[in-house]
Amino acid sequence: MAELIIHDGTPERDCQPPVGFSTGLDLSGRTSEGYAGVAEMFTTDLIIPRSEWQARIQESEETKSRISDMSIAAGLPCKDQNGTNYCWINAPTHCVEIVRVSMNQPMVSLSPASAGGPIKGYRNVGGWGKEGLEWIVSHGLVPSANWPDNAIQPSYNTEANKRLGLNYRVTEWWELQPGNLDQLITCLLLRMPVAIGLSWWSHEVTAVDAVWKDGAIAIRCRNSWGMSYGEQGFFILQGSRMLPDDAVCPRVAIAA
Amino acid sequence: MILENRQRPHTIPMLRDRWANYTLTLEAYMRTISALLLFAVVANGQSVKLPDKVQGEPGQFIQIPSTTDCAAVKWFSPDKGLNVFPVQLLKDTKTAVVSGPVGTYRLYAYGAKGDVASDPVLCLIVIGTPDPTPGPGPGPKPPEPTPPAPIPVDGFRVLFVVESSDASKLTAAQLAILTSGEIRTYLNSKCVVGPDGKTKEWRQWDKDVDTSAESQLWQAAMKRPRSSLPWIVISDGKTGFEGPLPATIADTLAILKKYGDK
Repeated sequence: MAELIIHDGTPERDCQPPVGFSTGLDLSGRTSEGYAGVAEMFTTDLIIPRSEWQARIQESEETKSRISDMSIAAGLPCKDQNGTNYCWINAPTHCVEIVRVSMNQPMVSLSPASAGGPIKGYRNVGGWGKEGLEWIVSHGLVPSANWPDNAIQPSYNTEANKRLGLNYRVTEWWELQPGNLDQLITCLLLRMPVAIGLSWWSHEVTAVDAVWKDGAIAIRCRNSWGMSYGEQGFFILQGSRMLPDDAVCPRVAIAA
Repeated sequence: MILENRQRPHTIPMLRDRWANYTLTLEAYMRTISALLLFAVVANGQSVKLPDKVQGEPGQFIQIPSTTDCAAVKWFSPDKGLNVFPVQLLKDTKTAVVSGPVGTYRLYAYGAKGDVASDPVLCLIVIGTPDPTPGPGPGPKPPEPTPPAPIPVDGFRVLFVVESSDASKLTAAQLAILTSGEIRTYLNSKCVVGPDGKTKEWRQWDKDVDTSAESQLWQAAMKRPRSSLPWIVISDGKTGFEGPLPATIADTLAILKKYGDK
């Protein structure tokens, strides 16, 4: 995979969204005491030691058991937020799609707008991943077939869609400590996707794999800028660029 | 044939020698005759009877009953390999209990009444097949019982059950099983198609997953008892396997193919 890599030396202009796309992370409403306030605590005993990272990454590559391998094999496309500022809900939504692929539930594209619209009063504004996932835990996501991905319109918020969305809720998840690389890499080594908000980029993406690049740990992510970005949406983040300012990890979705 | 050993009245010649040394009065003679008669009655009762041969199987306890008028019977075997259960630990010493490996052994018994012991009598203990002529043999191994299908519906189906919050405790090899491309490809090629006409009938669920929107078939599979996690349920509709998730991708594929390749 010839991959797009974003590292500490990558010029800012090379990180800008393609024409027609946007970012949208807005952490201004995020409270500092939010960590682990709703989700389960990610306790220290869960951490996979750094000494094991390289060997585990090598095994996941050899066995093609990474989330990226699973997603490609299943034909799961990345999200396409188009010109909306809804990256913050596209990333958690894609996480839920990955969790469902992992569970081998029927492949259903889920609509980020079905959560982002009601959360933001149908305004095309920024937000952060945790507020998106909290909505998904309580209300769920409506399939894209019933609520188009970028339709920030209240007309889709019907009683039927509300009932439908309940089948696409998350029931177990972790909120990770901002900037905690050990927690982030552990989740990825456990093949659990993490929606990460990156202040330096004002953007939220889906972290999927831990990778070993240039003799150091790095992460593979999937963007919500369509399949033409990077390699089918995948790209690599290295160095301080991969440290999240907001990170949520859904583990279990309703079996439906 | 029953071996019989009676105490012979060989005390008479010995007494006859004594009589030669004494002059007996009538009274003394009568007393002596009375004592002799009493002694003869007692001596005549010492007898132990055993079956001449008893057969048994290796590892079995074999009982050898005796018929005797003695209060107790003593047992011994001069042959190595035959274990004679200590009769003093038994309620009744008139029956011996032995065991041993394949072979033929001699077992002796004797009893006593008054001051006189009986002669020992012999019983042959034959353990195993004494006849060297080959018999019919054990025959073909009976088939192992087939466990019932854990998901009693036609078709190959597989369920993995995990505890996602404990995933860090799994080995790296077991984690790889759960997202292995090779295993997913195999399951997608072998499992039957679900009710939507697209999704293959295998699932990988957290132990606490909400299954209320799933089919009754999967809800029932999820309710089956488990003794540990991670767990795997494999069913081909006729038989199947339920147990802990194997340690490696290769081990998991091997057990999946046992049922999926039929």
